Amino acid sequence: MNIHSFEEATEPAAARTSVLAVRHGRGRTGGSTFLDLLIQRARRAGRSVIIGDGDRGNATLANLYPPGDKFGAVQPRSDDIADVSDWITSLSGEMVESGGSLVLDLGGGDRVLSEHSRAMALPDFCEAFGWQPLAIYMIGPDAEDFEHVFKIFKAGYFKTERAILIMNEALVRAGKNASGAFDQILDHPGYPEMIESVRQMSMPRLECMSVLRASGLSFFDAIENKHGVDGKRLNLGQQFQVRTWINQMEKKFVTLGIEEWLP
Amino acid sequence: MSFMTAEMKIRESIRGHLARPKERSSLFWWLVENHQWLLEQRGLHKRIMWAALCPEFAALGLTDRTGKPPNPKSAKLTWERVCKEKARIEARQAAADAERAVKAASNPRRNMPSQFGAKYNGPPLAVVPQPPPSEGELWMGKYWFDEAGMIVVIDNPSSGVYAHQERNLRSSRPIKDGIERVIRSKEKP
Repeated sequence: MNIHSFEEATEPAAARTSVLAVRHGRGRTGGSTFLDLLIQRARRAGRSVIIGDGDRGNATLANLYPPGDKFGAVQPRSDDIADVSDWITSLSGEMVESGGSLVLDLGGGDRVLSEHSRAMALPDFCEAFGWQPLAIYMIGPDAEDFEHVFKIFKAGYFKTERAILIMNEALVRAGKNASGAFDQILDHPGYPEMIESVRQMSMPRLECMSVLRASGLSFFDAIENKHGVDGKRLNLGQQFQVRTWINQMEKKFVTLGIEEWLP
Repeated sequence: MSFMTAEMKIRESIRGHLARPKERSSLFWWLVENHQWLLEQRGLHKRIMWAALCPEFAALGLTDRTGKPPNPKSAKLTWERVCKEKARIEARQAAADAERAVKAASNPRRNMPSQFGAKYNGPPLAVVPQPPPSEGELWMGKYWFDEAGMIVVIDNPSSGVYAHQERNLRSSRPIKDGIERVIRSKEKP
């Protein structure tokens, strides 16, 4: 099947349960890129999403969605664990009031979740208000990436039935192929345990990602031939790359049975 | 005589209900019957132009599940369901074949002339040993693969196999290379 036929077949559901999506993973593993796609496709389909960027050390979402704008990201006051924990509680309340979904980028915030879970277990909170919690574990091919998310998974601060382990192929180093690069993850002693509880997905590399980011365009603005902050558009080849990448992701969402899990 | 005719009709009706449950559309069953032919006609063209085929389906009186003439989207979805169903049946058949092969291989009398059958005219089985099915073939009894060789994702471990197969494709490795590494935890807890 031509990948570009997939977008046509993928229509957003008219209404769906609100989702609390929490991203775990080390910095620079592509989590913000994945969340950005979730945000854009949800908003494009008319679904409301609140963005919480708790990764102040690498605040990609806050850069893409400037705080203070109407639909901008919300950040904690500081990196202090107590502040971040308060911020999560506050955002959860906002999510209740808005009726939309909440996308939370915690970066390497396992300590935050540990602290926050003492005051309020997010999965229980979701259940009480009828929302679906979704854990997103982002990794690259490094064993340390997996160890980091496995530790959070084992700790169970945000143990959910719906969980996705995303292997970001953009982080595969030059000279290695995607399969070989992730082989060491398959051999990790924690992998057999995790595979039973999480849906797995590969995120393909988007070759023109750096150009797209420099243009300030969203994925969908780029393929609709809009002008970037520098007044230029992505060239047609780059637009095609972005469209292909989006359609590949959409196909995966459907094939893996997780489309309805997303905000 | 007329009683027998009525019973035969009822039997035929029951057979029809069992063989072709009504929750499937007439288009679905037509695509099932013509699956191989359609694949052959498609040849190397991977994309099927459903918009062009829908008027032909309508002319044949085929409908979707709601009784309406198929549209490109419903026809495409029905085709995907048919492909999945076909793959499921083939996987089940392969698993049954593998099971039979295991039983045959473990039969202590397998090399005795009494087992060869009346029409057997080849060399004795001892000369042509039948290898037991590989672990992968046995494992197919739990999961099935589509026509392209990709696993059909039904649970978390199969999603891991799917992701691994995608990486195999991008790395020019055989599509089933190393998939036992992904699900070995399920097989050998």
